Amino acid sequence: MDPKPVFNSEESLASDIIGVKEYLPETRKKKDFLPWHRPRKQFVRHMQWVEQINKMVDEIMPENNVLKYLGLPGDDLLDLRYFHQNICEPKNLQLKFLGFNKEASPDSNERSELNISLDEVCKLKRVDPTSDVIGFDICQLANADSMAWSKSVQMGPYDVINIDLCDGFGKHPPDKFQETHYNTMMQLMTLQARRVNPWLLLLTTRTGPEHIDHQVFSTLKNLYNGNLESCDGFKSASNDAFKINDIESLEKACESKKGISDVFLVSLCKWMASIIADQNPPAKMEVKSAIGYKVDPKEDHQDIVSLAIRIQPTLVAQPDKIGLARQSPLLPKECSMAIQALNRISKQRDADQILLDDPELMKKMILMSSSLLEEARYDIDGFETWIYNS
Amino acid sequence: MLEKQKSDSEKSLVLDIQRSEKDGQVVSTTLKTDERVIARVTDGIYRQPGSALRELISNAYDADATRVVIKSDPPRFERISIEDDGLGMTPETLAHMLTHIGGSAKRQEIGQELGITNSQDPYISPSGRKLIGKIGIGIFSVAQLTHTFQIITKTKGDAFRTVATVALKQYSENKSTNKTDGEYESGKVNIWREKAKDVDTQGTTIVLTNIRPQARDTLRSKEIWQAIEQSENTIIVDEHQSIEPPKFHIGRVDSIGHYIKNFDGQNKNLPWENSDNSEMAFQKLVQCVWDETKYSNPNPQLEKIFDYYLQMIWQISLSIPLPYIEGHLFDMDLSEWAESFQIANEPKGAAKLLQLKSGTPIRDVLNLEEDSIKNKFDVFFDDLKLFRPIKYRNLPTAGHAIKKPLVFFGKCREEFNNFSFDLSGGPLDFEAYLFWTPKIVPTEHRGSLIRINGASGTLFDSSFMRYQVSEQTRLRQITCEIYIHEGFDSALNIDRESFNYAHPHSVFLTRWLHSALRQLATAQKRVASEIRTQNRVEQKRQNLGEIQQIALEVWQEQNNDVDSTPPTVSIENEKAQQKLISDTDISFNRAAIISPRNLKQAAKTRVQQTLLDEKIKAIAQVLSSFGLLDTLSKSKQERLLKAIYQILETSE
Repeated sequence: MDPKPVFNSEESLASDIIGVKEYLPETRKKKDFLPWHRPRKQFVRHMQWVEQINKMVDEIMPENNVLKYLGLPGDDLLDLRYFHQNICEPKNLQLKFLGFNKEASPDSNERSELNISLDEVCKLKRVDPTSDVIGFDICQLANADSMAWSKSVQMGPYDVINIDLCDGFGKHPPDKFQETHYNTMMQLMTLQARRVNPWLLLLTTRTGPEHIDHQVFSTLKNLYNGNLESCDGFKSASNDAFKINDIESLEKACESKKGISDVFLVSLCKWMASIIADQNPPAKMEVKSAIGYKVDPKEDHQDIVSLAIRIQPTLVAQPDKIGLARQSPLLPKECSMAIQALNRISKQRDADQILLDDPELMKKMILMSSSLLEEARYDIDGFETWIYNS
Repeated sequence: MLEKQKSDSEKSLVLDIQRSEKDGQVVSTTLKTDERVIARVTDGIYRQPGSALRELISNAYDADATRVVIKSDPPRFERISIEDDGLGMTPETLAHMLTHIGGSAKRQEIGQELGITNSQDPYISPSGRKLIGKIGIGIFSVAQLTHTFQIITKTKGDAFRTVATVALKQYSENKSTNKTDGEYESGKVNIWREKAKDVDTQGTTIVLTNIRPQARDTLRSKEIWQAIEQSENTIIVDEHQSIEPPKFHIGRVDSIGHYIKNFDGQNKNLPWENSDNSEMAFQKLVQCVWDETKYSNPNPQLEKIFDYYLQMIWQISLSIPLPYIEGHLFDMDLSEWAESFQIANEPKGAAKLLQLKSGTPIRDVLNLEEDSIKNKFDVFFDDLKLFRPIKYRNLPTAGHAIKKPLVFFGKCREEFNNFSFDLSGGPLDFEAYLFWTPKIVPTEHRGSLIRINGASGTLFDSSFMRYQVSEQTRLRQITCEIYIHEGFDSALNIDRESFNYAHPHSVFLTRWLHSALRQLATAQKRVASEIRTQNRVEQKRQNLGEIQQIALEVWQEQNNDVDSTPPTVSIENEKAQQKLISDTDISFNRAAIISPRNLKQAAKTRVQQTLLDEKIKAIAQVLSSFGLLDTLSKSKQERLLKAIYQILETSE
C-alpha cells in the first residue's frame, strides 16, 4: 500500500483550515458494564497475570525498579490500575507503560473517557507520568516505519507484553497484508531480543475455527505434525493428552472445535519457540499458565484462552555456519519447549468452572472486579445483578 | 448591576456543577463575556503554537505544580495533553474562570477566597511563588491550537474530579452573530463531576483535541519540508535551489502514521538516543548546538539546525521558570574562569572589577536574590526534561585576545520617589547579568532577555532594547538576562511577547541596560589592552603576509576590536574535513570550491595554486568581517567562493 502524501494537495483554498465539524463540546459517555468486566476476566487478571508477574519480579527485580509494560488497555485502564495496586505498590516498583488502543484516535469522542482514566492512572503514586496510551492498532508495529514501532522501540524492551486480544491471534491470512499479528509478534520478539533478563508474554486469543485463518491453521498443523515425527517425547505427550500421535489422529482431532483449539494453541507456542530459538543468542520459553473460558456458553471448549509465557534469554552462541568456531553450544531444544507447552495447554484451567465450583472464590472475584470498576468511576450498584442476569 | 448578575450566574453554575455529583447530569453552559476585547483575546492572540503551551505551563507553575508532563504526539501533533500535579480547580474556581474570562482571580482578593493565591498575599501562590499569570486568558491561549479541549481537574481532599469539555467559537465582527443579550459568546462548555477514589491527589490536565490544521502544519514544519520537496522535484536546473533540511528534526509521518523517509534515508534525526533518559536527552539537545561550532559552523542558528518542534522546545525552555542546565550563574564560582564586574547604577558610572575569592559564589558577594526556581518544578516535554539551555562554561574563546568571559552583574532598585505611584507605576526592582564572550551560541541567544517572576515571553532581544551605538560586533558577543523582582509587569503587553516602550519602567530599564553596555565596552577594551601589552601581539602581526594583513585589518576595523582575529579559513580535502576542527575556524571542501575542471589544469604552478588559495581564504575572511558569510548556508557559502575563485582564475 502506498502511503498517502503527508500534506494533502488542497482541493480548495478553504479546505483543511477548520479542524472540527461542529461547534459543540463533547459530552459525558454513559458507562455500561461490558463482557470483560465479568469476574472470570478478573480471575485471569489476578490468578495469571498478577501472579506470574509477581513471581518473575520476585526472582529478578526489573532494571532500575521500573516495570516496563506494553499492552492493549481499554478506556478504563483496568489492568494498569490493578497492576499498580497489586504489583507496583507491594513491590515498590514504578510502572511505565505504553498502551495501544485503536479506538482512541485523537479525534474520537471515546477519547474523553480515556483522558480521564489516563489522568487518574498517571497520578497514581507508582506510575511514571510519561506513560501513555496511543491511538494505534498494535498491528502497526509490523511496519518498521510506523510511529507505533518507533514509540515501542523508544520505551522498550519490556518486562511484560500483554497481547490481550478480543479476537483470534490467527485470524489474519499470512500473505494478504503486512500488518498481521504474526509480523507484529516477530517485531516484538526482535525488540525483546535486547533483553538480558527474563520477560513475560501474556497472550489472550480466541481459539475457535471461525477465528483462525484456514491457511494459518494448515501451517500450524504441519508444525504439530513435524514434532510428532521428529520428537518422541512430544508424540507421547500428545498421545497422552489429546490422543494425537500421527497425521491421521491429528486430522481426526481437528474435526472437533476443541481439537482445533488444542492444536492451534500448542502450535502457536511452537511457532513462538522457534522464533526465539533462532535468535542469536537464542532464548527459551516456558508456558507458565493457561486459563480459558467460554465467550459463547454453548461451545464445547473454552473458546478464549490466556497464556502466560516466560521467555528467558540465554548466553549460548548459535553454531558457526562457516565452521571456523567449533564449540558445540547447548542450544535450547524446540522439542522440549513444545512438550512443556503441550502439557500446560492440555491442563488449562477453566475459569468458568472453577468459579462455579467455588462460590467463595466467585464472591472474591466479584468484589475485586467491582472495586476496580469503582476506581474507574463505574456505578457498581447494579454490578452483581448484571453478572447474574446477563 | 451587571456585576451582580455575573456573580449570581457564577453561583448558580457552581451549584449546578455540584449537583452533577449526585444526578450525574452534564451541565451545559456558554462562555460569555461582556467585553468585545476579551472575546477577541480569547480567540487567540499569539503568533506561535508554542506560546499556548508556554502559557499552560505558566498556569501550572502558578498553581504550585512540582511536575508538568506534556505529550504532544510528535510528529503528528493530533492530540496534545498538559498534565500537572498543581492545586487543581474547585467547582468554584472553574466557574469563576469560565464566567470571568479575562478577569483572573490571581492578584485579587477573590484569588485568596478561592484558595488559588496565598492567603497573605494575592500576588504569590499558596506555596510562595511569584505569580506569572494575571489576566486570566492563559487557558484560552489554547485557541491558538484548537477549537476543542477538555479540562480534567481535581483539588486535594475532593472526592470528585471536575471535567469540562469546551468548544470555542470563532470570533467575528459580523454584527448578526457576535452578540447576544449584550454579551459576546466565546464558546460552549459541558461540565460534570466524576467520582474519585484518589481523594488526596490534585492537579489539572488539559487535553487538546482536533488540533487546528494550520497549527499542526506549523508544528510539523510543513513549510520547510514542502519547500525541500518542491526544490528536489524542480527539473529546470536553473531554478533548482538547494534547500537544506534542518540537521536535527523529529521527522514526519503520513496520514496513517508511517514515517516518510528523507532523502538521506532517515526517518528522523535527533541528537539523543532512545536509551537516554529525559534529562540526558535534553543535555544532548543543548550540547549538539555548541558542537555545531566544531563542524565548521561557527555561528550556529537554531533556525537552521532545528525543525520547528525542536526550536519550540528550546524557546519554551528559555521562557518558563526552570533550573539552568549547568546551574545558575549566580551560584557559580567564577574566580577561576571569568573576570567579574559590578555594574554601577549611576548614569556615568563605571563597572567595578570584583576580586572574587575561590569558592564564593557571586550571589554571596553581591547579595543577589534571583534564584532560577525556589522549589521543584520539573517539566517533561515528550522525551525531554526541560532546563534553561544556557551554558556559561567551556565556551569557545579562540580568535580573541581575551580568553576568559567577562561577566557584569547588576542589582538595582528604583523607587521613583519624586513621582506619585499613579504616574510611575510603583518601584522597579531587578537584578541582571551581562555575559561577554567572543562567541555567543546559538546566535539566538545574543541580546537581552527580561524575566518577570521567572518567565519571559519576549526571549532574547538582539537590539538590547534598541541600543543605537554602532557596536555591532560587541553586541553579538553579549548575552544578558534581567530578572525583574518588582514592577515592569504592567509594561508587558497581554501576549507577554512584547512590551510597551513608553512605560516608565521600560524607559528606566532601557537606560540602565544601555549604561551597562557602555560600562561593559569600556571594561572590555581595558582588559584587552592590558592583555595586548603583555602579549606583544603587534610583533606577531608584522609577520603576516600582505594578503592576510588586508583581511586582518578589515576584520578589526569592522569589528571595532583590535584584539580579535578573523577565523582561520582552511580548504580541506573531503576526508580531512570529517575531523573536528577548532571551534572558530571555517573549513571548506576543496572539491566544492575548486571545480574538477580547474583541478585538472596541471599548468598551474604550485606557487600560483598557493597564492590562489591564500586569496580565496582572505576573501572568505573579509566576507566574514561584514557578517556576510554567516547569513548563508554552508552550500551557498561554497557556491559563492567557487564563483569568486573562478573569477580570480580567469583574471590571471
